[in-house]
Amino acid sequence: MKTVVQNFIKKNKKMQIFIDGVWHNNPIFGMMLGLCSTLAVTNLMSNALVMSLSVSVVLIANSIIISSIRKIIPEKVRMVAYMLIVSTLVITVDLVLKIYTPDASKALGPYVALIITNCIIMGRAEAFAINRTVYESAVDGLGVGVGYTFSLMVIATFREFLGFGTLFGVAITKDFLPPMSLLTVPPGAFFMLGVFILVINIIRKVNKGES
Amino acid sequence: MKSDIKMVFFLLILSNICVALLALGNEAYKDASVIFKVRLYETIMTNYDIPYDAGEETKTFEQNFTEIVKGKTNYYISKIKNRGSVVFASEGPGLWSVVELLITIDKDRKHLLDMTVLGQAETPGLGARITEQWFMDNFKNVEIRPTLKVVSFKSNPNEVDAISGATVTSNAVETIINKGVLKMDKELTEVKQ
Repeated sequence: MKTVVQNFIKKNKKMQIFIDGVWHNNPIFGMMLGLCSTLAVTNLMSNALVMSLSVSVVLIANSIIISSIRKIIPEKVRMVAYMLIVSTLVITVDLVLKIYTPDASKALGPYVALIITNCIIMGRAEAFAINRTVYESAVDGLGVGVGYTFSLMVIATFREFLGFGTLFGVAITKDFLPPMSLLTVPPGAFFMLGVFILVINIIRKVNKGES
Repeated sequence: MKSDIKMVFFLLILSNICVALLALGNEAYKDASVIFKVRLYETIMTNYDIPYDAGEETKTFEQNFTEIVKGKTNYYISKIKNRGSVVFASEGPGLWSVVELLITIDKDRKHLLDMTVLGQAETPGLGARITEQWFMDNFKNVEIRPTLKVVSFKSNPNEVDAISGATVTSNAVETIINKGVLKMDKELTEVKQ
């Protein structure tokens, strides 16, 4: 079964790009990009979800736009072009969040606007979208976006469950487990992230040893 | 030379498209930003026990309060209930986050009538307890002259009990209120009724 899946992935190039984005090029655990906002917004699952969806939307849209105009972007000013497009997309997302989910927007504070400087988006534009087709770039954006969402949600689930004793705000361990407040504050995020990077690296090593 | 001209044209066109899109977004947001105002109105009217109907918040609020804008702060002065009392929001840094408070001051500008926490993200179980009703009720009818003090055991009329284990956040609340009052003294001198 495993080899069938592996063969399918190897044959299908788009699938390979997607898997690379989610696993090998995972923005948090693989490339270690965009850690600042990751540490800040993973205290609650709802915050992490809104943040990761916003980043994914900007990432996919940016990859599509950059790759579709890649032939007319002058090489010297490509960074300026990325910045212009990313800022427009981020401000749009920020406004949409402010209009439709004012509470989440308030909880995330400046971190939505700071997506503009998120290295993941610039990184994927420079490393991938600038010399690939639109379709491939969209798949790559989707893959990295899913990888980012997955990483944030994993960290946020553990931080919220252990720190507040809740999941998406629903109390679960109210009566039998005292909340660990350390995990809800920024220093706790470092511990959690460190633990996850350790776990992911062990899994990677074991996988490498097998193949 | 030719590539330079192309570069300039490309950037001009791209930035124009971006600016046009942002201008459109800003127009759409203008209508939506009313939500935040209405929410603030609801909180203030609840503090004053003023009944209001859904959809009529702004109208009822305008009948009850006068708005005075000074710099970045909006002051609301009550026209009917507790006539002359002032409501305004003040914010400052807590331990981890920005703490935003809604402060109500009586018409003599000597006592706090109410303190409500509008926003915070302090340590749950410690600093975040400033949102609990008992803590906010502490601030009712406390003197703010010469300054408000958050202490371990209150013995004077201008003192309030702090939360043990949350010194930084408690002190932040004290500082935010005192700074807000100081600012109000400067900005609202001429409108004292």
